[in-house]
Amino acid sequence: MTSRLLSRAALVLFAAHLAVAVPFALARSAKRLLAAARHLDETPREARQRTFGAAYLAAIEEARRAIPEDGVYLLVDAQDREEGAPFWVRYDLAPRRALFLGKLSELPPPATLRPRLPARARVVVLATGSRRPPEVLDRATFLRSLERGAR
Amino acid sequence: MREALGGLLAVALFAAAGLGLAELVPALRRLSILRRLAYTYLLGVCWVAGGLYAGSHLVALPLRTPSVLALAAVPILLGVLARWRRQPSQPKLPTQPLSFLPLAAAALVACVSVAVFAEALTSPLDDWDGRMTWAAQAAYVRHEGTVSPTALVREKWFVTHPRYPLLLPVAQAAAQEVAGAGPDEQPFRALYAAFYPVLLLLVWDGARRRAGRAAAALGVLAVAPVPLLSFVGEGRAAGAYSDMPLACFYGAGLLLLLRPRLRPLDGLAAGLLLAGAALAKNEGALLATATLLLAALYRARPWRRIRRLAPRRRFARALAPVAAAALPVLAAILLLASWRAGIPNRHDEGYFALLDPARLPGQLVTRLPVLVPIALEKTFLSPSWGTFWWMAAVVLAAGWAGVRRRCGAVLAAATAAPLAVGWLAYSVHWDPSYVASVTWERLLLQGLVPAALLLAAALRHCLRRARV
Repeated sequence: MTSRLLSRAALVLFAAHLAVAVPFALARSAKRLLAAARHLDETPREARQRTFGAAYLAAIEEARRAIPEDGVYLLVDAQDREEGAPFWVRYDLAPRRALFLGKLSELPPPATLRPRLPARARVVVLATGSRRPPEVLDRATFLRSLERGAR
Repeated sequence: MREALGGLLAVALFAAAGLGLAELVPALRRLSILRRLAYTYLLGVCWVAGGLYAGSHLVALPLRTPSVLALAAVPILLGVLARWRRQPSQPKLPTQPLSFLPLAAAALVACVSVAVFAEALTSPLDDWDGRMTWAAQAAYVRHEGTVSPTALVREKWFVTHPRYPLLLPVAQAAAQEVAGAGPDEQPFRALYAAFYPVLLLLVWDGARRRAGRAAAALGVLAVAPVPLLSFVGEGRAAGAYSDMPLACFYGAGLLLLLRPRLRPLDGLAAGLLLAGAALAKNEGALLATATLLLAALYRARPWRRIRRLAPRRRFARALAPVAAAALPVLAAILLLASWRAGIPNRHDEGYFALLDPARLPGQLVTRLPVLVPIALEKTFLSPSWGTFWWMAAVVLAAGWAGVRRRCGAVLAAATAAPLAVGWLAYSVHWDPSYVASVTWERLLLQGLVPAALLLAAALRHCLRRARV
């Protein structure tokens, strides 16, 4: 008798799970399908602009123009709080190779930093936040701004 | 639209290669086309991406379209040849008409699958690990056409987890090549979207054999709407994490090894799937090894029943498929070790370096008070899992008598294996609460196929007991 009651209780819970989960799954699917239908004729660029914002996309495209596909660049973590921004910039600029300098606030003085930088890396990209556009600078401008204490 | 077609073409290529392989595997050949589809897609990914991985590392095979097509063509041709030579054709098993529950499950899976594909092919990738690790690695691999691109092999370049196994990034690169994708085009997303219906077909196949059609359909209905599988959280099929592929390779390899009357070729196919698990994620090698051990334990007993054979032959016959399965797994582990030897590790936890055997027993216990509340919260209160584990816990408790058999023990152990690997990792990590909070839900996903089979068996028992 106890076993039968327990089985019935389990089946009621199973039915409740279906009653909650299935409509939600169908509603989520319908929402995604409608969204996809609206964006079906978008180019990859338009889709990225919709998702990440025009300013972010413009900054990434500027960096891509400045660094050749098999080129290298210097990447700096300039976030106020951890949002993964250096990872997203690195992904968007791949296959360009990144030399990670670390957090902006922890960088050594320019006099110490300058000799450590490889000659090939002429562009510095500062990752500022998850959806905030990265700053793209040439190396000399970046080091000068560090010297002035502007960063 | 071009991107979507390219993605679907890549999925079709992997499935076609797997379909050819399945023609050579007796246990898969016996299945209906629907039940076979899941295994064929997984076998195709393992064969093509695994072949490219090994070829690139061992003989500098360029990861370009001709290599992808040549690798896919081999099993397709072999499959066609095998089918043509098989005389006379095997009689078809009578098909049963579909009843309401299987139809409802199929309709739900179809609706969600279409939406997952639509989302994956119209929105840019925006998940965490997908961009941080898997797709970034794929971009380096595709650009240089090798699994050892400069960004990975030179220590100075910023790459996170450079030693993570590359099966999925190689599959991504292959899909991008075949689709001729340009910058920012992401046809590879279809590869991941396909793992959603594949996982549910595995649940259907495994549960149908063990619990019958009605309970199997209920099992699929219970799992299909779980938000984590489709759109919500880290590890979803609409993203690019490797956890759902790992769940599929691991689950499929296990299901195949638990089938009766296996031949060595069936074991080889299961081994190929488990090799895929080993090459998909770090923990995959441990899960593949655990599967081989569980399968050996499971298969070691029935040999006593084959009385007419000599004991040594009985034992060999029972364990030959497992021994055959061990070969691809061993090859994958050796390939991984050899490839890793050329990749300097950085920006990675380095779990093996953290492992101190003398301290480990203490760490396994003393960290439990921190870990258990996180595990419970992420299991029962996570929006990614919804009400699934509440329901599963109660149904399993009520219907455990229906699964308390040898196979049930193996499935329970297989469900727990990813969690045990996680527990081990949390015990040595310097920030166990953080790493547990971001990985526990995905460990549950990795063991979902055996868990769903247990659930289906328990449901069948509850239905019988309640006399519904």
